[in-house]
Amino acid sequence: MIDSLQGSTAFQDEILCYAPTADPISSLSPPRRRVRVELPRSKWMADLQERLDEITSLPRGWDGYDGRPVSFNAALFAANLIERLFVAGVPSPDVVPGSDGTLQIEWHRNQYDIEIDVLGPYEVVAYRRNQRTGNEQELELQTDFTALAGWIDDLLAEQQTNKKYG
Amino acid sequence: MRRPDNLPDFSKPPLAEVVLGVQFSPVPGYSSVDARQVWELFKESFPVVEERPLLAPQFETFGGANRLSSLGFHVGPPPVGSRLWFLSQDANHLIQFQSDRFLTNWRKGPNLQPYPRFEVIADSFERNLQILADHFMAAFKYQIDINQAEVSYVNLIQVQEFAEAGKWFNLCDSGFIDIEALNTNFVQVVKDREGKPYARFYNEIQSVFSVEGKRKAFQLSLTFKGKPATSGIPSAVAFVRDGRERIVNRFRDITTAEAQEIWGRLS
Amino acid sequence: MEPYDEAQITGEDTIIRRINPQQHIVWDENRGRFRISSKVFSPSSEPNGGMSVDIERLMLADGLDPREYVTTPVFTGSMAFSAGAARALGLIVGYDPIPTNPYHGEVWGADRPNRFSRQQRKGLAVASRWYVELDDVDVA
Repeated sequence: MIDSLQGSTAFQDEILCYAPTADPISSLSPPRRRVRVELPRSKWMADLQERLDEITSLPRGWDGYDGRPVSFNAALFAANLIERLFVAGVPSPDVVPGSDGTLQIEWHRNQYDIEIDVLGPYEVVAYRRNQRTGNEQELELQTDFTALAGWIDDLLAEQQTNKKYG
Repeated sequence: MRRPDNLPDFSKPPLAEVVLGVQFSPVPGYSSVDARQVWELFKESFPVVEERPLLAPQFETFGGANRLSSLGFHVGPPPVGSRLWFLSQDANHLIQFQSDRFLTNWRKGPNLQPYPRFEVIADSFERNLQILADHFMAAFKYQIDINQAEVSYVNLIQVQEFAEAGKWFNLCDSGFIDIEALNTNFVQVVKDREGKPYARFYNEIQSVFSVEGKRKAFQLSLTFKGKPATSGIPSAVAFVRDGRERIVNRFRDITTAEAQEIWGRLS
Repeated sequence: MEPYDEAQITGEDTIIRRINPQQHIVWDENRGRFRISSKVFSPSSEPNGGMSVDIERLMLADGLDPREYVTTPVFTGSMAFSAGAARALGLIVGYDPIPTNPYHGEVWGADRPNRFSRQQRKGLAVASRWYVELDDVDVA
């Protein structure tokens, strides 16, 4: 009976960005002995890491009232979302803290206003306005952000059109 | 809880561990000093306590072009506190607790306890989770707000050589290839009846060694995780039950008939 | 504080909302200018949460200079709108004095106290003017 295990060492040190999906919730996973290779972050996360660190460390009353720092969970969920939605060529969004520990991710460019209000894990209210047409959309989202991915694609498409025609 | 009909059953499954767990919004006002009160809830059956590093929050989200790294992110000040293991005297049963997670593990080792069956484990999980939820309400006026659930089956299939992969798994037909190591995984997005994604099904086969390096096995890990329909305990239990059925059916589908005979397939 | 609409706050009364220039300003590429984020006009999402404000009339009644009060101890900009404009959007305004700020008030949604609709957030931005101005920043 194998009662104690370690991951096979063959080849894995040579596989760049090896990231086993085994969840540490298993009590069978031994302590890892290797330094794990970090997967490269998107440009957005590279740009926003410091900002997220900042807003989760804001002092109480930062807004002139009783504002709290952005909650760790909301920020992590937002980071998850930012990474998932990243499209190369679209500049990083702004991130704005709320007084209640929530945060908003927003772009105002290419004739679009996009505001993604992260109220907590799986609690997102997203808004988009097309300045050219006046068309507005508001979505309440929990797990599926496919629609937002489409919004970012539109942002890129508009950007490329602007570049082409000046 | 009753075992579903038509679910494949095995008299000697190669199970090493079963894990059921939930993630919930952090309890407002909870601090490390409150951990002892939590242990008091369970210490009669789980008298041994160990500490482990915290588990980072996890979120199964969908949409967008980018698959997320399993390494996760770190933002803000380093999290404070630890994850506690409450162990049964025989060490076969384990509760893992931190301020935003609750998990139940059954392990086969170290005394090779026979698998007590999912229904027994799940009933215990639900009962203990309710005890915890009642405590949160009484002590913190907090209604447990579950945002993720998961169920994981970890199988250990002892082999002489890793080249035997084709004997055990339908996914592999190594033929005469002298396999030194095997690591394969795939992730399936699971959708509801309306076609909306709500969970991920992680499937991983990994060649492993015993600590002294002499014995070999394949570790087959099947994990189902995502956001339950609502934030209460019944929804989390329903999610876990759904996951278990998928896991058992997947186990049947990716292992060979020869292997299933060895494991005593009953149905 | 339970949400309520204070009768003593008249429609003409000035309601002040403070702005943190390091946190609340975003770049608007469409305009080529900085602007206030709409997140400023959000209530707290907690039960009975509202949007914190200062009630100008209370400060004036106590002989204070409101512009000095709302920029102490930390310099912030601030915007102002009338209580009437807020009520016209389906919001309610009440007193909520706290130990550190006796002139503190809250703006709540009349239907959902802790959630403003997009129209309400936009309406507050449109109704607002600078009270303590931040240079080269648009209000809305």
